Amino acid sequence: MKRNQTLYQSKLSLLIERHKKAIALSLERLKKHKANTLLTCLVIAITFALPLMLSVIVKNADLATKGLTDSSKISIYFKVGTSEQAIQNVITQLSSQDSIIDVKYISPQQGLNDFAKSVGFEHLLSGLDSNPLPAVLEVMPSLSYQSPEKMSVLASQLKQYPNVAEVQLDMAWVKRLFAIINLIKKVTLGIALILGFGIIVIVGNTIKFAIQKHAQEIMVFKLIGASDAMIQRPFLYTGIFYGLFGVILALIIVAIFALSLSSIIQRLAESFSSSFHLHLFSFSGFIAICLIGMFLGLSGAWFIVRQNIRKMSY
Amino acid sequence: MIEFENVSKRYANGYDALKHVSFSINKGEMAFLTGHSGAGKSTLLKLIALIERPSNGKVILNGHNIAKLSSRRIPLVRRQMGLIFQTPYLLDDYTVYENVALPLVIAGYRHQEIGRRVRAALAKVNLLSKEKCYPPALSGGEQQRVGIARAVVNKPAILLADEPTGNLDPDLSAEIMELFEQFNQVGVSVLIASHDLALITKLNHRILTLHKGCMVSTGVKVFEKQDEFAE
Repeated sequence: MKRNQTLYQSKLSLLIERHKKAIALSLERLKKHKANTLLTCLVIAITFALPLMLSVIVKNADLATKGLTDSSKISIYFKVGTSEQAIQNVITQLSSQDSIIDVKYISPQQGLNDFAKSVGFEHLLSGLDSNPLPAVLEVMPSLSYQSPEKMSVLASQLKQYPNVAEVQLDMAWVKRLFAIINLIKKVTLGIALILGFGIIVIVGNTIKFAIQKHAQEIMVFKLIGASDAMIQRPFLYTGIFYGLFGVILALIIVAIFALSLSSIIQRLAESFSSSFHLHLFSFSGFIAICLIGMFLGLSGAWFIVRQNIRKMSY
Repeated sequence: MIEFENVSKRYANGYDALKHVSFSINKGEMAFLTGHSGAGKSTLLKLIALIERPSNGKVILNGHNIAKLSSRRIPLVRRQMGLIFQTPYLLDDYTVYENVALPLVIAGYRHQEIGRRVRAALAKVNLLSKEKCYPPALSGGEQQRVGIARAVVNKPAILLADEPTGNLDPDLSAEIMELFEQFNQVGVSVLIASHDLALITKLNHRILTLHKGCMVSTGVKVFEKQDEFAE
């Protein structure tokens, strides 16, 4: 069929117009069945909210623990009876290292005093013949050495110094925390994958009903020469819109939830004397989440539409 | 224009709707297709419109065998024909104007051209005044005329109608047939399936008769024979 310039539109403008029409038709149908649309979007939003909430928790845990590693330190215990001179030698050696920003010396006497003070047994301790406590150095690694792996390496180096009885990493609990956060990350990913599949199914099922509802319209379009692509387009856009609206609703739910918790989190942070603020989503994160929602909606619609509209062979 | 060569159609359930049917309709010809219900009239029209595919034989349209045409090309064939049914299958959410404009919108016509052709088609079926109405507000006869306007708006070379007057009273039926004759006069090939013998024998066109899936007559003078098959 030759396309006559005066009768027909150019191919590009036709394609743009068809997409515009498909979007308009899709939105019109969604608007027409407001209650159904809202219900479907809510189901999608609730499904999406759980992994979203977990990801907010993970992200904030990451931010919070970044502050925590700042306070991690390494304690070096000397053998009892190590001379003051030997200790001072070690201190000067350590202070010159790039990996260490601060060395704090706690002499046996000071350690005993601190201990006695904190426990309240001053009179008992005064009865001791000799000081049983070792000299201790509290070493603060520089920022670039504060990852758990690097601190372990540093600790084993410190153990090589003369007279050192033991080196203790003050971060077993930090390690445990990291392990927990890692676990939550993995669980979040798993839940996100499962629920993402769930969203595909939800959208697919909703689109299936929409196709059944518009069966006669589809038949008429097919009989007057509409291609499958033309008939499928509005349903595909409907899938995209379900995904988008669902995700936006989910973001609102998560934001409300997070804001209602923010005062509690603030108080918790203050108890750790930390100036922690809850972070939600960055703009690029918001866009990425919207795109994921649209993609999931489109996928759900795609599978069902291809299956069902081809099957309707008029 | 339309040619059947030894066409058979067996449905998936084993029912033989058409058996070794051969006939041809010339360019610009108008013909009726008659027979009892279940004789295969609708199946025959569906084979031309590619709603069904033949099990055997050739369906030749404009010199091309469409029996094995790929599904992707079906829309292109349909845009060259107008289809009319017993119920007009109008879209209730669309105005009369929008219903009639659909084939042009699908084919990608310019807006001005769509407006011009839709109004011409509506004028032809005498419904220009109802262009802003919605189908449920129209009478049965008016709805059928909207269906006809939609079928002819694309200026198809072929019009296929399956019992177009099945739901209408005799006066309205005659009116509809007159419309078809007018389209035929401007060169459109028309094939109308109808069991309304009283109506179609009054009109001077060839009558094809189907009986239990077989083409028993392709000439004008067979309707005396028709009585033999009447039970």
